[in-house]
Amino acid sequence: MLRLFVFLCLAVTCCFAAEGHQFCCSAEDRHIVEEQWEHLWGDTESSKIKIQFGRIILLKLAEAHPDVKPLFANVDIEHPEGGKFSAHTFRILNALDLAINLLDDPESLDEALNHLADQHKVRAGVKKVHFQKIGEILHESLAHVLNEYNSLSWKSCFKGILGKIASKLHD
Amino acid sequence: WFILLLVGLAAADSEPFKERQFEYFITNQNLHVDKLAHDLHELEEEFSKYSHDVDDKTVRLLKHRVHNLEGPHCPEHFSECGGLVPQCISDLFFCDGQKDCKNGGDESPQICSEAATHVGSSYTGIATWSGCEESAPHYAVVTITASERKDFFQSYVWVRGVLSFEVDEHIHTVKSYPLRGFYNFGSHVLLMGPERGTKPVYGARCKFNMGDFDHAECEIVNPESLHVCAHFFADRY
Repeated sequence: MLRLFVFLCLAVTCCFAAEGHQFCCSAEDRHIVEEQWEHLWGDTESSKIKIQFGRIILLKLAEAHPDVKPLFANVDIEHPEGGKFSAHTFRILNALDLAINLLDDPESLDEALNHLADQHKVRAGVKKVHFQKIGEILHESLAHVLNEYNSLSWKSCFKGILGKIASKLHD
Repeated sequence: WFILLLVGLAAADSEPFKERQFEYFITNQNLHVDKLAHDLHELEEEFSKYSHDVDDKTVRLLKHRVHNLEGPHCPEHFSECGGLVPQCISDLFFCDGQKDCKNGGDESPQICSEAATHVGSSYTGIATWSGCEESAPHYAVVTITASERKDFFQSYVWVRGVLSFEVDEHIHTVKSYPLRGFYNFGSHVLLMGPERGTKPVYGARCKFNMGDFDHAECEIVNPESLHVCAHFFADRY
């Protein structure tokens, strides 16, 4: 047990020490994430799943951090079943999908995440803790919807993805 | 006397006339030969428009690819003697000075060529990664830096080398891994793992299965599990 703990600590420090390096979200990790993510989108009606999934994530976030609710005011979070909010959750899930599918190409992924970071920078009130919470919600819910979920791989990759999107925020 | 004059003139003229006639024939013959040459040339041109003969290299490569698809007839650690009658002998019996094959194929100069392990040989190709490293296809190079064949154990050549590949196209960062290993004459495989005291990150395995020592099928592998990280078709430089 102690050994496992030491190993995990080591792995985490490795990830912090050398971000984007081979150990953190390695090539194999990326392939695993892509393969497991792929399982969700077998159906032609994938947009419904995306909207539903995104809605759950955002509502859970709003539940945990009530201060994000006003941030989603102009996409009408008051009516989560409405078209405006559905379109927004669809947009978010598609961005997530884009990021995951770009894992194979680190340079393009970097640019895409950079763009997303810019988009979040101009929204005043968005905080780093929100992204941390989104990460937690994401892992929790993905473990529920995916038959195969390698949490180590997902965590090591999403630490990087969410970290980069939140990198231009001040607090 | 008029007739006499004519005869006189004719007699005086006959010499140059004959010469001219002779020259006329020569010219004629030359023209005829020229025409034949021209016709021949046209024929040659016509012929050259047809496709060339297939060169030996292509045929040899094709034969070896078919041979590779036929699969190994020999058990592990055994290799074929070659020739018409198939026979397998242990990899340890190749090129040891003792004829172990019925046809002596294990001692033939072609099989026992050390060309693959000559110091300075570089095997280069565009590596495609299936794991271990997240990067687009790029050049990878395996270079032999030292080789030694022990007198008392001739069927292996011990080698040292370097595996290097470019990790970043923009700033041209190159990763290099010192390797050591061996080349086996029977299996035509160059197998290298991490050099003593270095981190066991990558090894390289090159199979010279194209019938010469200029082409090889190489893989970058994990040194422990031999899990294939990347593969490339290598040419010698």
